[in-house]
Amino acid sequence: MEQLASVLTSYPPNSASSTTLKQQDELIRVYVSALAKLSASSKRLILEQPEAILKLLDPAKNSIGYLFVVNAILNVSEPRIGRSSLLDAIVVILLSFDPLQVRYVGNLLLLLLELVGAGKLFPPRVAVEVLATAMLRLDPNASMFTSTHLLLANYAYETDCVEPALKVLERDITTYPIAGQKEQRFLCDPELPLTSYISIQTGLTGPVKAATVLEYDFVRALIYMSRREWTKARKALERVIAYPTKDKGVSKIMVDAHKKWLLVGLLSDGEVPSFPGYTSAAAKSAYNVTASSYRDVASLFSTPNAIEFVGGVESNRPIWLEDGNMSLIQEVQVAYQKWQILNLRRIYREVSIYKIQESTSSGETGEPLANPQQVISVVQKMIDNKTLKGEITVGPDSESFLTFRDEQEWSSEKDFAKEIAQAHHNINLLSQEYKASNERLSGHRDYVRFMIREQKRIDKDDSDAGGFDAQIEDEDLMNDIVHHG
Amino acid sequence: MGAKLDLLAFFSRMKSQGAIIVEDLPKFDVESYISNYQGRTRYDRLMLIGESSVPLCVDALKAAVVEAKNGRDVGRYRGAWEYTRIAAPNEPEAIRDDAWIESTETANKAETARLEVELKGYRNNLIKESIRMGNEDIGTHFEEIGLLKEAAEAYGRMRHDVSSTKHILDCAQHLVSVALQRRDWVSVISNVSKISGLQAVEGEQDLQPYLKAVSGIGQLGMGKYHEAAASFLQINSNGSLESFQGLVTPNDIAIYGGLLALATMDRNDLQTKVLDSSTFRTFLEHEPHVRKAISLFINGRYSNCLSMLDALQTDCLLDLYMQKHVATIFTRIRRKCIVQYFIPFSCVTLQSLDEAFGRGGNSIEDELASMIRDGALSARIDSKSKLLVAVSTDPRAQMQAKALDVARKYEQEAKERLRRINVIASGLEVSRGKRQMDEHWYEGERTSALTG
Repeated sequence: MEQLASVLTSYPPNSASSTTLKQQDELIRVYVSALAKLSASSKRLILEQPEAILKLLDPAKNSIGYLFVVNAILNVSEPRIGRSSLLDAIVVILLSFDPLQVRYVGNLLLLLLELVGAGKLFPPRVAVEVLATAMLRLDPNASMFTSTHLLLANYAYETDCVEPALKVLERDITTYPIAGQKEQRFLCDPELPLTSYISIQTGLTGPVKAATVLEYDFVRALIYMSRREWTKARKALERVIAYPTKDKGVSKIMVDAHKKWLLVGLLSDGEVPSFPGYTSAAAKSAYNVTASSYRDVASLFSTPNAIEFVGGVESNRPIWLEDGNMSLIQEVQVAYQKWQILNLRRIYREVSIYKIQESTSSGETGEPLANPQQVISVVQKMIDNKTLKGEITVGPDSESFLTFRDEQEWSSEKDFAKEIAQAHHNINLLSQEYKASNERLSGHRDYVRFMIREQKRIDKDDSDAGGFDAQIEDEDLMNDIVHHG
Repeated sequence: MGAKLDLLAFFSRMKSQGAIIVEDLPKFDVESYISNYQGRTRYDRLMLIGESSVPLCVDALKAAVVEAKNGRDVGRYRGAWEYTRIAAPNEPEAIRDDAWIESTETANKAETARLEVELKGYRNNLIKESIRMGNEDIGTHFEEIGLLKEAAEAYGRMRHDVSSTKHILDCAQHLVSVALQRRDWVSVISNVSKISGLQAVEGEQDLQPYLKAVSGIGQLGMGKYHEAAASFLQINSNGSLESFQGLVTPNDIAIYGGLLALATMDRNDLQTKVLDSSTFRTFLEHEPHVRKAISLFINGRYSNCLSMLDALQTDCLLDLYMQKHVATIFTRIRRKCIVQYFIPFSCVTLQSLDEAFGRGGNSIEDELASMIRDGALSARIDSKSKLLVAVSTDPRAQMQAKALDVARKYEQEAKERLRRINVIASGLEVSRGKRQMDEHWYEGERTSALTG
């Protein structure tokens, strides 16, 4: 027991503050290998007195040891520890681990996260909360995609426990794991870029492929749809449909996402959404073939011709059912009249309720509403949930009117300055990320090879000919480099 | 009474075929109207009036029958006779002249055969000039007997054997003539541009009016009103007007050019390019109404301008080239008047607008709504106080909103691009090969080695 305790507590050393990164790295590596080489009797000892041993260790200071012990306990079928104590230990380590240390035992952490994400240990609320918090400890901006992201999204969606997951799901992901990344710096270097430590080698993420990324954004969109946050859902779907492709490839997820995207676009903006500029041509042509009936209905949405719209929806019913988009279509039908009313603000400053009743029709029946009271109740609901800025007033002949309010919210210079400063700050942060990516890609094998080839070509051209021809050639080369670099 | 019923049946049938029916009496009578035109356009114009104008129907159809019988086009005679039979079965023209049909058909066939044999002979002799003339003859013959497609082909063949610019000119003019009859506006324009592309055509001055008039008609046919207006306005009245005699009259030019300019040009251009134009003035003198309407518009007397135009509408609706576009052009002019009327005000009562532009006691509120919806008018309607209010823009707020919008878009775009760079750097693009794997997506197959 004594010996086991001395091994387990051999890290961190008491005078850790003065060590260099190199020493730190050395110490951790020695410690990890010592743990791996623990004798069978020591391991048995851990399993016999798990609680006592966990007490020896501080999860925040010695995360490696703690993780190791917890994993060892979980590996046996009937641990000698109360279930609640074990669960407590898991929560404690996941909420307080040292992000630098776990880089050395990424696989242990990942195992634990996957176990939590499988949903057998905790009730969903706790599991999602723990998972999301642990992910943010590892990568405070959550800007790097990992296999855990999809795990979290799927679990949160399936258990309908989304709230605690949003702090991760709402972040913008900009980087992805890179295979075969060579890193010269020490793993415990706090300055290390994300891609250098969140990788399959360190075990902090499982394998990721295109479908994983697509599915993640797709599930995010489903989550937003269930919360009726249409704009966010549309943006998530936009990422799926405009996903980079090569060799004219189009994935089925993308095709499915496009159908939903058309409908969600109607709900969020009241009109057919337009493709982001970077959507691949192959994907676009595939979408045009696969979603023609969606497109037809979408284009009818912004016209006042309700009967045709309803006809379009009804005649394509089998398609909605087959694609599982029936409930989304129903949302669109309900939203039809609301958008018709909303669009009146572009024409009227004040409009009589009678006029609204006359000029708009329900997207479900294709008929105008039966009486002014119904119109007032629809309008009042829209005002109450803030989709419509305006108020209902009574005119001189006791006729009711809807008065539209200005949509401009900007009043003070101060607010404006604050917003602009924030935007400026965000863009500055991004430019740093750009620099980092640029640096990383400049060291990429393919790029270096390309540069060498270019260099050779320049050398050869220089020796070949002089005078005017060479000058022309020079210009071409410049173009080339600018273009590719 | 019976004659009225016949007419009714005729027009309900025309309506179902999509013809535009004009019930008002135009300001001209058929005989004097048609005497201004020559050639095959006479029949087309008569038939159009027959199809569309209720008061002039019978006169026009009877004239069309006579016109057709003067020519050799049996198809035309059959068409005119068919309409006359329905619209006015009691007229002598309603009895089919089978003897004429038979003899004309036989003669036509013989002529076709003769010309074809002749052409064959020329071909065997390999004399270019003769082949060209042979093709021209056969083209003219086909045009006369109504085989327009064959005529266009024959004229097209002329081009292989041209040897002077004059020949190219002839060839293109024939093609334009056929294309006009076939309503093939694209081919009209392309053939006209072929002529204008020729350098140093003899008597270029003489041709200018013809070229501009024909290209104007072509552009009008394609709905390019602004270009068409420009073409008509450029017609040089000093040049020989003979060149398009028979096709359109100077009156037509004045109406086409004047109305299209009114629909598409702003006040300044109307003054300088239309009223002050020394060349176009000659045409406008033929149609003082158009001239008056334009000057009323320039002087801001919009309601007078519109009522002046209303008087013109009936005649325009019976014009061969204008008919289909009358509704659009007149709506445009009307909308322009309303917009111009509103410009100096920040707020106008709907009542005063009704007084200026109202038609038959109907409020123009709905019309205004549709104009705002189409973006033609930048204003809002206040139904409670019965006002039309101009949209007042706060430049500062606009600037702020725009600046924020740009910043947000920039940020988002930058983020997205960065994301895409990294997706590609990690080798995670969707490629054709991976498609197969994706098909199992729903079954939850998610493990695979990282590629890259």
